[in-house]
Amino acid sequence: MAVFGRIVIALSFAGCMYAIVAALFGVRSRRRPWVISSLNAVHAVTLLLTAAISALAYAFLTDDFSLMYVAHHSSIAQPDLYKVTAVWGGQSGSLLLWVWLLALFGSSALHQNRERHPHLIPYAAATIAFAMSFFIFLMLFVEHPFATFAAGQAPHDGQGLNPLLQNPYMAIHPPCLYTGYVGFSVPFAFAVAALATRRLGSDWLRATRRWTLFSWAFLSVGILLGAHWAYLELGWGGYWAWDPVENASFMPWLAGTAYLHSVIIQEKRNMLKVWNMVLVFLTYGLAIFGTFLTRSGVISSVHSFAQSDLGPFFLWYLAFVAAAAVMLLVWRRHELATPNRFDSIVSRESAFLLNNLLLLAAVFAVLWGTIFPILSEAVEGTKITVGPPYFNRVMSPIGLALLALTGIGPMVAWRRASPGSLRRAFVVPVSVMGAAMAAMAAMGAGLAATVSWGLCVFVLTTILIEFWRGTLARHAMTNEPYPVAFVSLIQRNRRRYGGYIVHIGIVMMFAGITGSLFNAEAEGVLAPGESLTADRYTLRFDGAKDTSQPEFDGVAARVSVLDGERVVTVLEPEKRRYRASKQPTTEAAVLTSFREDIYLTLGEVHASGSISLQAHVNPLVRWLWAGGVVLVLGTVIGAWPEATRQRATLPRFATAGATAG
Amino acid sequence: MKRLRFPIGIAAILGAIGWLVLSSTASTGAYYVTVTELFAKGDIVKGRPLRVSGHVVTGSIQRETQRAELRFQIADPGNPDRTLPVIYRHAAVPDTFKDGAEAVVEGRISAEGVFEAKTLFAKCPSKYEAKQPPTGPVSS
Repeated sequence: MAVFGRIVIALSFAGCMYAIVAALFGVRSRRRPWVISSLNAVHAVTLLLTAAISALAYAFLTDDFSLMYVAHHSSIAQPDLYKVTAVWGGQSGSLLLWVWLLALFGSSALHQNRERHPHLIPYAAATIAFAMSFFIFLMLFVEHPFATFAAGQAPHDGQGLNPLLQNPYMAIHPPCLYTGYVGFSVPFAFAVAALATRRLGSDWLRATRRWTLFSWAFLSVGILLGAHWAYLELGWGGYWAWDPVENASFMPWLAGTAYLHSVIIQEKRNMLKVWNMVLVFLTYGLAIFGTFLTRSGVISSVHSFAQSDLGPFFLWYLAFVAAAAVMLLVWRRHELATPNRFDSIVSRESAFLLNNLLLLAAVFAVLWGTIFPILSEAVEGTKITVGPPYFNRVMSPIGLALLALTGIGPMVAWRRASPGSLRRAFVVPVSVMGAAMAAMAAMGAGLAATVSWGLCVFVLTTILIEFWRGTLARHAMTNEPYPVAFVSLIQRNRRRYGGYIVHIGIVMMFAGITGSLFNAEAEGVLAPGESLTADRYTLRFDGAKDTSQPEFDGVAARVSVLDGERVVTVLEPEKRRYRASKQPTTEAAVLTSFREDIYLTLGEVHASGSISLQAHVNPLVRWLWAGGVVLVLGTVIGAWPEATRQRATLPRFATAGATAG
Repeated sequence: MKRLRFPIGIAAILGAIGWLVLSSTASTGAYYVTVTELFAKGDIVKGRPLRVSGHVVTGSIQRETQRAELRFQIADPGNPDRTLPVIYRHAAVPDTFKDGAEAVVEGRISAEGVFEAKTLFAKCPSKYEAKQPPTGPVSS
């Protein structure tokens, strides 16, 4: 298996090199067969890497501990599911997963566009092959997933996967996140191709629009799954700590969100061409930078762990990509100029511009806070860290401004909005928001929560009005019953209404995050029969029980949750100690509802039979996860191919449905 | 004048955010030092928000069984005699916290020289350390 894996990975590197040379030679000398040959080479690399990752999974499933990587991340007793997910449980396997996904996406995107955008293909192929070759290079020369022990040194059993990672969320979180990261390589490659071929119109945007949405959705889901994992598994009752590892995934998400929005301006108004290029390069660069941050260990993270020799390589690659991007942009600066200007400061364009400005400011603020220890050490000689208070202070106003824009932007007309149209668009949502805020203030919600939830109400109202008006217009025109009109409204304007649904998801997340302002916690040492009060609940410790399994020793506390006299539920927070790795883990017990989560963790179990119990009551957390589901739904609707022939039969509808836009 | 509206607006927004970033950095920043560096700084660190890293001194962990309270000492591996006593009054102790673990504590130093930790992070002394760098979650 090891020999096979090594050969396959070496061949895939050669395949990438060939693809680069063949693509560039083919396009320069106008020899199409060479371009086709380079595409075939990319497909061949995809097959080779598929073989490699399958071989590694097979080695895990068959407990082949002659491979160091398998021995370090698996053990005989490990369940089969976690043997497979252990493939990306460590450094070199993650590299293999990354490059395999890149190969899959690159192959599909190139295949898909080979007829439609033949001019972009050679450069896109070369760029993708180059990006793959970087990761394959790292495997070949720095951390090889198929590295073996010296003869006779192989252990009989492995050390087992870190128990924190033996969790369904951790099984799918990395592939999701990587899909998001890697997916942005496709728009990146086509942007490079657009610059190289001077085809700077909307071609490359159209070729990659779905890829961008796809990557963005996966990145969103990946981040949320990571947060959910941290929430359930790390046991401190929160889901986000502004840890460098978290920030590393959040920054490309912010930049990608900016890009998704600014692309619309280029498509509609043929403006911001340079800006879009910058954003796509920035998103890709931040994905690489994020990997660098987590892999290099330059910034210590609570999630700690991954330190390796890979850091400098990522930095060099990043520097190369940045330099190449700047050179390409400078080289094509004249072709990127646009005759169109911003007409008015009150227009859809400026709403988009403001959205971009704020998102990039957010990227900068997160970046600043993340690397401040390095900056301050370089400048002052002392490391200074900024923690969650910094991020909360900076990001809350930016986030709220973005939330407000989510409601404002779609209601403002393109080019120039007249005062009358603004009044018509905003009188209802602003009134509803005002009423909601007054009610919340009266109930004593506090300023921050009132503003945040008030804005949520505002945005939601604007979106509902949009759906309402669209349905009415459609009903008036086609005489379809309202529910049918509603569905066909969405079907025929998937991008627009899909986008609104994503916005609803974002509003739900904001509402859920705002709930954290009302988190309550309590902790104490309890003997059996004793209780702890948390928020309006009484938590009674009834006794401990043994929960040991073959892989771990475990003990759980039975805790009755009482609301007054009524028993709501019995929760069993647990402490485990894995036998292979000797590592303890805390298994939180959570009762979740849309109102709040009751979250219990077991601290110490004392010899006297008493326990240390920590309790959190976290309102509205579930809205965050539910918002993620809605976000994915909206993205799928927005990315679903629109049936063009339907448009042709209903030419008037475009105007009818666009009354507010 | 009309031409200037966009640049002025953009500059105002960027200025506001820049101010927000800088003022928040100044008001929330905490020195991040090792135990040795902490002692080298002397009295100026008393009462300031600090983040200190060190290894948990083996055998120093004392758990209070009647209430959630943990006392331990941390020191740098290169300077094991210079120890910092830490008190942590929460039930939530990271799973990775144990003798020899690398710990990071956030809080302040009391007048008696005891570090009152509000938060406690710990990294496992990795079993792979000798041979190979530890590998962890791939949540990059």
